[in-house]
Amino acid sequence: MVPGWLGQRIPISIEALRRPLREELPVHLRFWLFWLGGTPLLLFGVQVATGILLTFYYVPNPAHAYDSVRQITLVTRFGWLIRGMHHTASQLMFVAVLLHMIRVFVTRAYRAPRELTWVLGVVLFLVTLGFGFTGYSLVYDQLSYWATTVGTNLIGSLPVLGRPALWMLRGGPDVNPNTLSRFYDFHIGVLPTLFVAVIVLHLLLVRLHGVARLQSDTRKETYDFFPDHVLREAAIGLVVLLALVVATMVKPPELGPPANPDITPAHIRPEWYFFPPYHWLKMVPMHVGIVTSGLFVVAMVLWPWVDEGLERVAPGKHLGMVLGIAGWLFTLVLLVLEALS
Amino acid sequence: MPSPQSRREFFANVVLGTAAALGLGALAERMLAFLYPVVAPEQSVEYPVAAAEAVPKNGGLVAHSPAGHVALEDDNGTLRAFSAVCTHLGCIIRWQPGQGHVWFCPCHHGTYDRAGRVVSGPPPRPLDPLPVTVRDGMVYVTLRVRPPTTLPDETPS
Repeated sequence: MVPGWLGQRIPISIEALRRPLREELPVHLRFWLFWLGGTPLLLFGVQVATGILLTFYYVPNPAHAYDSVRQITLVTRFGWLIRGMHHTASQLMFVAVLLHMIRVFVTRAYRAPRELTWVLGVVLFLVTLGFGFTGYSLVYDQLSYWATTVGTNLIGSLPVLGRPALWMLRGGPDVNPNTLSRFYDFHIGVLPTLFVAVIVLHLLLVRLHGVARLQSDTRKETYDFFPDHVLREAAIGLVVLLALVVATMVKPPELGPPANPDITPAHIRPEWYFFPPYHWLKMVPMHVGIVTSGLFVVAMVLWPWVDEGLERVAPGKHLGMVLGIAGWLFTLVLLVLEALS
Repeated sequence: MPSPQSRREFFANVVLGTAAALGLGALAERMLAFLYPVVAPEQSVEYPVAAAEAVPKNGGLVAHSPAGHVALEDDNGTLRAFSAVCTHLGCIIRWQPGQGHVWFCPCHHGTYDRAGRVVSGPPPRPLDPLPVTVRDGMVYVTLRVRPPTTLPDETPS
């Protein structure tokens, strides 16, 4: 038992506390490509810390939002650093989440019985997109305002539930002062709560199932979660933090002209992680774009079962892998096309 | 081993369970209703949006009023007005003549001709036409607007 006064108040044995640290991990996890799952969690921690600091100065009101961001950037002590880290960590978070997803996809670690771990991972990716969307809407420069307008209109054009969802999201039929406070609520309240709840379940499932073994790796050896793996995660965490600070100093976040609801700027586009759907919506009629984007997300969520079905239809042909790689490449092509346009 | 549930206990649990489900459901419905904004019904209001001489001959411009954005164009002396909100995803169009089109949306590159019809790009339908008149040198356009919600005089007690 935990000794002394504390042990009487928290009656738990030291053995029970040590047990989770004793997990034995397959040796393929020693390779750095398999440590990427912890990085988004670390970056989320950075976002929480820097985000809480930003709330001390940010004013979620259209009349003051832009100037409060200017004040943070130009006047507040180390404001440029805190805002820069918050912005850059959001970019790195997408890189880390995507690399983690690609790794899980390529190694097919989502197969039974780990389908729900994958589904929760996709939910975390979608929540991360929500963080990005609501986050840059708060800056209230031209990009913010028009990205909010376009993004929310996209939701409004969904069949049946589109209009009520649009009104609830915006707090009215148009982008208005309520919209900013609602996005602020989503960004600092709703989404973080959801993220924490889902990540707890995600990690719980990872621990309950244990780490998936590689199909191609027949080695039976294991190594300890603590301290071996934790130190590896800590090492990559330090590299990520260093990269974060350096990237913030080399390329601090920009601040465009203030929001002007009368003029859509000539060259407007969202952050890079929204490039694929943005470019897709340029290429195809609106309803085709919305329906196909929705199907893409559904396919991502249901991928373990889609892959299993394809394997049953054509055993050994790796149709799932071919289709999945085609999907990733198509997304990458759309991203590059938009970046070059 | 737990004792078997009596008929009386079973029905009591069913009643309690149903009451809890109804109560929580009603509470959830009210929470969603709380988030749904209160907005006034739309009204048609005529607004002066620009001086008639400001619209270039055989050209166009986007005028702004507190009630909305209006695309005005002159077509050999005929004045037309459209909502300047792109029917794709709500960006403000601009007068930018090109191949077969005169109105251009910078967001997803949708284009419209002088009649407001879609020429290219993803917009799903033509621009919304607006009733327009010229009086005393001013262009008046009828817009559908929602008046702001007003607070009642009394305070909650």
